[in-house]
Amino acid sequence: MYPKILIVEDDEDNMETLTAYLEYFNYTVIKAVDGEEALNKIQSDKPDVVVLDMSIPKIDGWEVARRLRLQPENKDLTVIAFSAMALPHEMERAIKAGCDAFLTKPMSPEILIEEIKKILEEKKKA
Amino acid sequence: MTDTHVRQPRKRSISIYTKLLSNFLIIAIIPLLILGLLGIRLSTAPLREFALAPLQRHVLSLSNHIRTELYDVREDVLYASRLPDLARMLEYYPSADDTYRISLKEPVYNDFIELVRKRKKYHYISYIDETGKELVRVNFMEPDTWYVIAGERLQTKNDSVFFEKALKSRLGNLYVSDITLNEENGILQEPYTRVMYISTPVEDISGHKRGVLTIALRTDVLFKPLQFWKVERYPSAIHFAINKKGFYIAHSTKEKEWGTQQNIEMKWSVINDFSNTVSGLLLENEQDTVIDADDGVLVTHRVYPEPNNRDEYWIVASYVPRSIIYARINSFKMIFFALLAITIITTIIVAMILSAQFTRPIKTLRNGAAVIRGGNLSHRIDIKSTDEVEELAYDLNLMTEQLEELYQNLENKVKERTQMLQQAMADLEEKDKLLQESDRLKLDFLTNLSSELRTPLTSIMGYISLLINNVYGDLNDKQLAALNKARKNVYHTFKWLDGIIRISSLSAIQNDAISIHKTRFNLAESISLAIKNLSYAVVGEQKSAIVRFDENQVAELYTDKEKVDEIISSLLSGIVYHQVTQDTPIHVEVKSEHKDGNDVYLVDFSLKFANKIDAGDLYRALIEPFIHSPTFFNITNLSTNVARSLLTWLDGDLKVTYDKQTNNLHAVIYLKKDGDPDVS
Repeated sequence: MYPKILIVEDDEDNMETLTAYLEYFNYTVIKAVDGEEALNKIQSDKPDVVVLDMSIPKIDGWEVARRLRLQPENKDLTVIAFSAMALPHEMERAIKAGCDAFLTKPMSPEILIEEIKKILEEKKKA
Repeated sequence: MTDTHVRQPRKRSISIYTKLLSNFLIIAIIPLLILGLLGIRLSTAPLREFALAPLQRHVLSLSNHIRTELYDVREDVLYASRLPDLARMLEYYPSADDTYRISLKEPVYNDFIELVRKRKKYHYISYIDETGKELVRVNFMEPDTWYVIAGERLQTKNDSVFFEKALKSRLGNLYVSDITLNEENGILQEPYTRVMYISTPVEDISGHKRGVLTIALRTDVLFKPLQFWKVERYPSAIHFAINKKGFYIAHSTKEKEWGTQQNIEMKWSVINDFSNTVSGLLLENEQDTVIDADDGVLVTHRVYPEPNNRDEYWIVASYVPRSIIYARINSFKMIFFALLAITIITTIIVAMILSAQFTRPIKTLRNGAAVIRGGNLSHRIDIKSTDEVEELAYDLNLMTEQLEELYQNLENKVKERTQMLQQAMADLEEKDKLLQESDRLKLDFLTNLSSELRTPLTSIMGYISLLINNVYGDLNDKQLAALNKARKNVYHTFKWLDGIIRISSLSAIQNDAISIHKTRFNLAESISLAIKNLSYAVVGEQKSAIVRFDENQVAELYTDKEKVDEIISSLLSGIVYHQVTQDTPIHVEVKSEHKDGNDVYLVDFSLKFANKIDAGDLYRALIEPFIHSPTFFNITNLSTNVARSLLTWLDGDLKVTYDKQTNNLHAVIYLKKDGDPDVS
């Protein structure tokens, strides 16, 4: 059973490559282009993993993560942040906001799948 | 070299005042005390003599008086024995009748009466014929009464010692009897009258001894001065005269005298009043002497009643209790001591005044110097001692004045410099604000630049991955090789562009904006992650040949994981890019070591070359990536420089070495196992 993954990304090319790659490897992919849509999709589609770009319109990634952690039903939802902001404190900001992992762009799809697998395995063990 | 260091004064043990005072006292008082005590000691004997002198003079006066009196008596006896009237009576008396005899006696009586009345100290004068019968006798009683003894009342003295002795004497010689009591007809007369008989033989004109002339001398008159003469300085002194047996023949205390009504038989002796030793000294010492009696002092002098007879003598003495004699000496000593004490006290007071006078300017100088040392440079020391201290005070005042002037100048300069510094600080602050604003703008730009670069690169790498993984359909080998090369170059290009941005951003970020976030993690995870990232970015099918690393190693660290990840990733990507052939895999090994007092991990990236390579290739390919230059960055060493910069934050190190013997290249990262927990 492959997990259902919500990709939140406002860049169309990135959305396309990630979606194609994940779907090629049998993952179910849901898409959202801003924070507001992401929160709605999480409520409606109940994804297993959220791949969250931090710099997105309407509601940014940090605020999305914070809101999710305030919702009891989503407090354990796996959230992987990825961002073009590569300064050292960005990872800390993301973790503090409630993300489980932080990946910096540029990021090949292989790494994303490796990270998803790793986190899910760790959660499963826990 | 001169030591300009100011030595701290030792703790003051004694002040100049005390030292000066001590010296004064040592110089003045010790000799004074020695001289004083020596003077007292040496003056004791003269003082004693001085104290006894009045007594000695008194005893001598008494003795001279007695001697003179006896001399006068002797002269009277000889005079009386040679009276013409007596000679005439002797010549005619034997042949004269009674009437004529009376007329012969009468002139003699008159002569005797005249003599006793004149002298007033004779009990009587009598002429005794050769048979011992008194022929003429005149008695005398004070104040001026005389009696002519005649007829039956005339006595016979033929058994009297003085008669016998005198009759046997040669003409002109005298016999002086002991002191005795007056007897009449062998009966002691009362009241007792002590007398002594001075007698001389009487001859007629033909030279025949015809009798004896005798004067009975009243000894109470003779010794009267012992009763009445007083020594002015010692009114309580006791004076006495003793005979050679020690009996008192005269005494200040009348009752002690032999022959008084109370002492007729007791015969009071010096033995009764003094110890045997003192009595012995008193009786046997022939010289005039001073005897220390039991509790007093005796001054003695010998008197010979008959100058030609040295066997008979009297001793005249005066006795004064020791306390009275020494009271004077002690009184003198006390006065001397008092004078000495007054002199010493005066000396001490003078020494104190002089010491205070000498040290006052020094104290003023010391206090003034303390005020100046305390920082009051306007203080001036006012000393008018007209000596070196005043000169010293003047010099010190001049120095202080100069110092004050210098200080004032210095203060003005400091104020001036402070103002300049404040202005410079304000300028600097302004420039710093501008710089900070510039940095902020630069950082914003670099952040945006990084973001703008990373986002499209992600999609490029994404599309390459889709193609390589045949998501968009199968590709031939040439296409795959081309895509792999494209991905490797994209990744490398990204890395050095990212390096430029990172180096720029690091210089833009202020120190306090960089933070270290320590976590405990396994170093092997960081190495594995770096290898994975690298392998996705380069040739996928050859990734196992690129890096050899045992992922099961345990190397726990407590430091900033994100920075460690980036260091390893940067270094590894640099090494891989310059890797010469696929035949020279990179070996990564983690080692534990103790370096410079710290436990550290060494991450050793080593490349072993199978074949020798030339120096140019080696430099270009292997050494160049690790050259660190703070001023020059090129494409090849950029990632290494990023690693170095981040290592600086973690207090780590990077060393690159090439071993010609083994043909091995080593790039070693040093990381502390436990970063200082206080550093954040």
